[in-house]
Amino acid sequence: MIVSMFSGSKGGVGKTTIAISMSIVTALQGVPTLLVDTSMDGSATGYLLGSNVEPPYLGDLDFVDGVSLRSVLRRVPIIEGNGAELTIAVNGNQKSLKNVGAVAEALKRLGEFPMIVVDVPALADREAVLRYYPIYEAADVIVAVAEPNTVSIRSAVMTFRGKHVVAALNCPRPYTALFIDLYRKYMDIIHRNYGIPYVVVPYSKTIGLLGGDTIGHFGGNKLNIVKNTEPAYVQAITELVKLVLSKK
Amino acid sequence: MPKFPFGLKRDNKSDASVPDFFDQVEQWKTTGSEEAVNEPSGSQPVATQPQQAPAPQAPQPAPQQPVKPAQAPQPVQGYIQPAVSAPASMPVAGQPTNVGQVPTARPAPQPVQPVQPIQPVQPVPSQYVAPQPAAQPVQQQAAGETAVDQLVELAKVLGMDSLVANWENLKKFAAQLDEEEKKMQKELEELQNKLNLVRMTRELLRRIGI
Repeated sequence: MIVSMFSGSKGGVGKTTIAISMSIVTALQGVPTLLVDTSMDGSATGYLLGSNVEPPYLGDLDFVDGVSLRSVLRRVPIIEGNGAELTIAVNGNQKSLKNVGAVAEALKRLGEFPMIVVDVPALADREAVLRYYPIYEAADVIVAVAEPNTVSIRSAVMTFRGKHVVAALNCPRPYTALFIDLYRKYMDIIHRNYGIPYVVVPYSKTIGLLGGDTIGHFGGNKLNIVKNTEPAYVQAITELVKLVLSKK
Repeated sequence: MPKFPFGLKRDNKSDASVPDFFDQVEQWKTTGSEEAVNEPSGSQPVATQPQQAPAPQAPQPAPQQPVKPAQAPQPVQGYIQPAVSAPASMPVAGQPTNVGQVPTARPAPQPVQPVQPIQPVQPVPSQYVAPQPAAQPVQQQAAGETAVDQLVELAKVLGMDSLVANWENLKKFAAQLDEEEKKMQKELEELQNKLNLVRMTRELLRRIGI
């Protein structure tokens, strides 16, 4: 199952954080999970592996197939000692994908990962839309990430010609309950009219502290977000994963 | 209490339009419009500077992939079990309504005006940087091949058979390499598929405690 993140033209809404969180929650359930980092900044790569990741990157591949794609995969232990791990297709160093369509086709043929989460950057302009739309054509599920504000929801919540779409009303910064409730009503209407379910993901103080280069008090198991972040956040991400997996 | 967004009513009977992403992609591919991807089709761009002419459209580059038909939803792979039932299928967005759009009282964009000699039109910075058409490597490659072919013909005429023979040998060698690459790649993928099956089988055995 290929799950693609989407926020339209609006960036900074927490796509990468939610993609990482969903991937870790899924991997901790014992499902072989692949997180694909397609952003030039390598945000997910930096979060999981730090800033010094050896090439090759996904953006280095001139010819993409199953063999070359596996050359950019790295395994990341989530809980040391018990074998729980996440696999990530690394990118970064300001390298954009040379052939997004070929990457999408190669992902569809990868057999060993029942769950593939693709972190796609914000589609800020027409070029980005025409560049990255094959990822959404290949996707089985689209996770639309929006903040509780008008611009973000209008930008992110779309249909994808009958594909399964799940929305995350995310709070990458503290929002008042009043605003969250206000936009929850709007998401209720969208759910009724378009069949797009949603989950409110609350603000988490700690999720940003668990990244690769940060020094925290979490030891070698800091990526275990189920243990190290707020229960409400974990519950929301788990609910989001359940909605994603509810695709028939 | 702030106002409800999007014309939302307290009775929750408001209509909320949701555009379709692929409709927007098709529109952009066919028309080359610079309209924002999130705007419902048919909406007009907001003219923030009505005195200025719209920025000229740059030539649209060819998309990397041909237009594909909409894919049917694929079944869930592997052993992931649905945790909750899927939501009831609802109709996909058809023609988005004008809910949430800018009121029609806004100034419409002005058509392109001829350049006036007294006050020439300044270049308008466009929000979107249209990609420049890339260099045409196909034509360059074709031209290169033609030149090489001419060189080979000249070598034949000049009686430099050794050069021609070496060149043709290299072409044969390249063809052999291509065939070898295809063969090895096929073998690799077959092996990888077998490995995947072995891993999945082992994983299933682990799950039942073996």
